[in-house]
Amino acid sequence: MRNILISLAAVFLLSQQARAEMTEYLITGTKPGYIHILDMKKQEVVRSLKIPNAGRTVYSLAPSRDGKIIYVLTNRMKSLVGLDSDTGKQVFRADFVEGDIRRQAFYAFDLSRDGKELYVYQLSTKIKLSEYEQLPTRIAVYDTSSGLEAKPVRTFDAPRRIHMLMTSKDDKWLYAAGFDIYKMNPKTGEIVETLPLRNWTLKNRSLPDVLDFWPLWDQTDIFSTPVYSVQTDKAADDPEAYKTGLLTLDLDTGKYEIKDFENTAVLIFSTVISPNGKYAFGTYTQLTKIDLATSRLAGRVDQDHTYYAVNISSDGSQVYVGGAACDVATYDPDSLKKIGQIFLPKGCGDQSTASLRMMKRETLK
Amino acid sequence: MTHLKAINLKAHALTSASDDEARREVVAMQTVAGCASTMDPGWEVDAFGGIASLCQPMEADLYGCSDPCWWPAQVPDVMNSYPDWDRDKSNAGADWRQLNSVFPKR
Repeated sequence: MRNILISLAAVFLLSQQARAEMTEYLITGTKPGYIHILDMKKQEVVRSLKIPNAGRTVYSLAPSRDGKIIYVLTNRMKSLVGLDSDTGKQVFRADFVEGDIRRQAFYAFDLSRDGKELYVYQLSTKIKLSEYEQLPTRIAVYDTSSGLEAKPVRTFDAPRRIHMLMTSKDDKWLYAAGFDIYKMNPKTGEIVETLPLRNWTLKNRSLPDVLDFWPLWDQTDIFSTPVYSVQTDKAADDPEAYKTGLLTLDLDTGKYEIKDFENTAVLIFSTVISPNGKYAFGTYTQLTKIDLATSRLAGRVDQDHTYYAVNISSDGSQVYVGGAACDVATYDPDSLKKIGQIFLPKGCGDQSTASLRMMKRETLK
Repeated sequence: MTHLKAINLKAHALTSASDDEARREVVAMQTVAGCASTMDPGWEVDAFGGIASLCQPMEADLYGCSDPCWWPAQVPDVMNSYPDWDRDKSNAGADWRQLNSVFPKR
């Protein structure tokens, strides 16, 4: 019996050592073409990866689920690149331009949850001698194991004006946000459901105004974005006529909601849902906190300057704002006090519209 | 027009386009052909007609607008037409004085 207990103890100790240490990181990009990996709890930049042939532009980012590969839309929206986050090496590249067809992806791409496929929304223009010919908009699917000269393994036509692609948690669906939000079969491109946005049927309400190409659902699998609209049964000079709402799409359950939370007072560019589901945080020139249970404003503070993107730690204890300029600031979600600020290295280049993503992976050495 | 005769392909295309049968649907461009991937106001004045909701400072928004070709004319299109406009000027707040106007290429 004593020998059995000693053996069990030894097995337990060995298994603890074998389990890799995991750390949560924030990733962002800066001009003229870097990806930065930040340990926000330590408030330090751990790695800066140079993107080859970036055209000095960094747009959307998507880390693989194990954090080993970071995919980035770059090169003036004409290329999708995958960088190994340990070595910085380019392990995937898809260049979209094909002969006299100029293709660009307007922010919208996502990685399948199993890491095997990339979905990219492409705008194609045939450059002729004295005119442009607009070709149908499409989604191109790439195999992530294709290496440095990746070509689509399949394509399908997609509605116009898509600016966000979102894979469902079970990889069964691809949500494409454009005029409305289209739920698509990622194998065939079939649209199985259209979630109304521009074509909403709210009584006495104007068309909604939505701008969002920041993928910020890392902690909750809930896409959220502010929605602005006007109550048309009120006078145009009545401040009560102007409403700010929050759109949420649960990428796990498919639940879709739009709820007003205030008369429009400030602009908000992007929002993130807290891991406990109780609050949303939004950023632009102010940091905004929204109580989701009551659908009411819960707090607001001025930031040092305008930021485009907001994200949150997995334990909900820190809120991060970034994008636009060259720093990432940290706020306490309860007091909304600024508790940290990191200026990004490699020349403090502007983040511009680079995404602000969170990932958990084996601690980088 | 009765005294003009189409003698090349482009001219023939123009004359036949006036025929109702030959018209194709005209759609707003879903592409990034030059500048303006969108017509979203908000740089000289904000959505409320004032300036309080513009990005603060203005430089915070500069590359966020030129990188995706966001507005016509206010900032050059670095996606296709003027890719070197921001070369060696990665921080708009510090480098804005070095940014130059652009002119059509001859």
